[in-house]
Amino acid sequence: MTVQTSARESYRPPYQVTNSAETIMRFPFPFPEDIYMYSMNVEPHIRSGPVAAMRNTFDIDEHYVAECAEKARILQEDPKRCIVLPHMREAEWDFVELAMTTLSDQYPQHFSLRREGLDWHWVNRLLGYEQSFVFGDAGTLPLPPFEYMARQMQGDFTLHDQREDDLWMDGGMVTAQADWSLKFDLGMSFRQWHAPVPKAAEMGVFDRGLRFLLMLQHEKPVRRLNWTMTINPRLDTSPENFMVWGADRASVTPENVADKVHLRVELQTLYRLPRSNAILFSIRCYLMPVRDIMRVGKWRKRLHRVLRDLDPALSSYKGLDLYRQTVVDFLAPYDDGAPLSNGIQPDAEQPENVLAPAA
Amino acid sequence: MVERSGYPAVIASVDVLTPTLRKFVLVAQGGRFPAVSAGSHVVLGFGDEARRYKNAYSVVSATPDGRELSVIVRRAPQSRGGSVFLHDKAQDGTPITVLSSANLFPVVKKARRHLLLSAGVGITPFLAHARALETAGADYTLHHFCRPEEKPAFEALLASLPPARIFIHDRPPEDVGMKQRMAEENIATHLYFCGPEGFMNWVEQTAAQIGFAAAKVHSEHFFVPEGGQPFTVVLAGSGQTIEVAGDETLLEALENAGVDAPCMCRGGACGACALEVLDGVPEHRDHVLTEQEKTEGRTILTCVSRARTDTLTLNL
Amino acid sequence: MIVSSQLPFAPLVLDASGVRHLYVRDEAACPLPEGCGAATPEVWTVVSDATAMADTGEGEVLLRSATALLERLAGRLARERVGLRLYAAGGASFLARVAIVADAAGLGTGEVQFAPPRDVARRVVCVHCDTLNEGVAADTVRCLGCGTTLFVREHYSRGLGAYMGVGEPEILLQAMEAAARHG
Repeated sequence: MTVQTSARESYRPPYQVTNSAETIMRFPFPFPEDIYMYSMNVEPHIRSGPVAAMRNTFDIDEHYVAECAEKARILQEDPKRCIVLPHMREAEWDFVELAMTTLSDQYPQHFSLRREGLDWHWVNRLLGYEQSFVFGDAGTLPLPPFEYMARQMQGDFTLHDQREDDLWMDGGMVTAQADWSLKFDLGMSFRQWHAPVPKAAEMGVFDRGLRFLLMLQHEKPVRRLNWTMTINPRLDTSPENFMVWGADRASVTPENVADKVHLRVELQTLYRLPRSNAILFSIRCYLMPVRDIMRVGKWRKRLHRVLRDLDPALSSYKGLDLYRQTVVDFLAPYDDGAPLSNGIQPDAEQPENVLAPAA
Repeated sequence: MVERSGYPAVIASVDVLTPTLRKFVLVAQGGRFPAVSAGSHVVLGFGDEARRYKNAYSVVSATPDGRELSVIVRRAPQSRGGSVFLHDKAQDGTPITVLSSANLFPVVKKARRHLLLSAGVGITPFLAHARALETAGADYTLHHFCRPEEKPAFEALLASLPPARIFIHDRPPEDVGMKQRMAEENIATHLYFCGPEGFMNWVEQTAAQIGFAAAKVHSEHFFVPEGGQPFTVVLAGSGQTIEVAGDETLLEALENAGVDAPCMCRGGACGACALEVLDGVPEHRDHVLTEQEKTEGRTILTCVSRARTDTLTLNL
Repeated sequence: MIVSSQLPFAPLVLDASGVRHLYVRDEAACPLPEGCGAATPEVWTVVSDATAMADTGEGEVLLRSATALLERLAGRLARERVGLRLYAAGGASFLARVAIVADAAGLGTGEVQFAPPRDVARRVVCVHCDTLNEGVAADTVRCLGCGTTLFVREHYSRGLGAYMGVGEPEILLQAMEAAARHG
């Protein structure tokens, strides 16, 4: 994956984010079938998968530098986007170890790590960081360990303590979230922070999911995809800033729908951390405009079918009500109703050009 | 990330603690062990040409650089032979593999104070916990109960911890005022205990009498799976038939036949290995299933449980 | 299974697994826990009276305000031994504050019971500016901090002792109204 080494892109007005053909083809399109219903849909997070975005422990793509810059800006504006409770100190170091070892192993051109006992030396060539430190000694890093590392990664991260047969959200860095708040949900149990999700509770999906996660084993991470939609390529769709971005939902027209409306996909991966026995929840966000999704035949047809037949309660919960029909109307002429293969993998090697490029 | 084959190691030293307890220090070969949290067990793979074992033991210590970890093994003559092998045949240089680790007995990190009670070999998880709590600067007290002749061995094991936090008793808990000490604990205290069945029962009943809330009482019912009558297991999915010998567990038989069966604790404590029973009657030996589930007999924990019938058909 | 982030409200029942019992309430009208008699709880009551003296020596402790009661409770729980069961009854805001004091003292599941709140005046925290708005009985409240009209979400943080309040941009409200008319 080619990574841009400077941040030319902007995730806030004036928006400026473009996806290369490679980025489009590696997108983790979230619908394996024409019908969507909430489920835990968990599978082992192994280093293979139907699209390239799923084939690394932590995915780095062409937007890395720009996303890290946006994250830094949000943290500057709102320090409560990163909170870690004191009893999660060991989990912070677990996170540093997992991130540094996997990134340097899987992207040696961008990151390197030298370990001599507890003396570690970390190099991040993309952001131009170089740091010697003593593993386990927070005083040898310029920031608290979790914050230091999470700032150097795309996506959001939460740390969960396991006790009383439940998982408690006792830390995290959350700057690219789909309408939930870390400062509000901090300290909540698995059931408590899922409380706003409709229907899933009555389906028992959370009980099964929790039972599964409580037994998650070290070195056997799991993953699932979740999705919603976002107007404009905006990473920070937080409740904190809802008064800033919420009105965008009323801005979709038949003319701008292809460029304004983005499918927002979270590649969620979960890891048992060995020192702390905590669980790391990584939420890697991908934003893909309808215009780019149109370039994969299977995806544009399937997106049409899923949105057309979506459960109204889910549509409402995800905040799609004001523009869902506009998207469906736009996509309908491009769906011939032909059967589509199961699974999320694209049906072509290269993206096609269906629409004229954006003006 | 490593593959299922685990982390190769050798035994670097064997300490005879008591006639039945030995401490084994393992050194990683060509790499590092994964970090382990206090209270974790590791599943060790070892043996000779005649017999391979996969047994779970509490980790009593691990070096922060991942080079070494230690376990204490009690010689259990009734078991399927793993502990006997380690006591009688393992020595410096014996190869051994760390297959996996998991923590089924963590402390509650948020708790303001921890009271640890152990007896006999039940000390093993607390050796790791006491050191971790000490390092974290946490408030804790450990009471250990043992036979008089074993006391010097446990004193030596615990010598590096502050004497004000460690109490070793060679009389039973009821004879040293343990109930009164427990009752004087602050309401924020969490209680942890591990040891032989009689000790576990005493602590559990005493804690209930003085009003410890169930959510603050934590125990590890660790036991070594025992053998029994041989039986036959049929896998409904593949039609495969596997013989389970009297001195091996159902899980071991599945693994030896190349079946990728789920598992974690290998001691009937976690439930990860549960499989659906389609035919036959299980003989339940675990601490996980409810009485109702045991009566229904539709689920079996393969790591410890066996069969009452000659044949058991599993949905696998 | 009930999925909710609310406090686990349920009618108070004396818990026989406890060896000492303390009942706190923000007014005398709140009934004693069911089953009192087998054991008698210590009772602390807010009387909203500046002449009340806390130590009457007659079993029931009278406190001048909820704040006075909660301060006294924090001090008591810091010294309390294992075996206590705490029971709380009163308004939603009082119960939220009791939970914060009990959690801070290290009480856990099974050691505290909360009666269903006897009013709906909730605490609402503004997610935009962090201001805590007390006594919110309606579904919306104008935030004391940033002036936003907050819609109260059914999402409760035990740590903050408050429900989440989120504003809705005016354009969005109008668009949703229009959609509802046409839909």
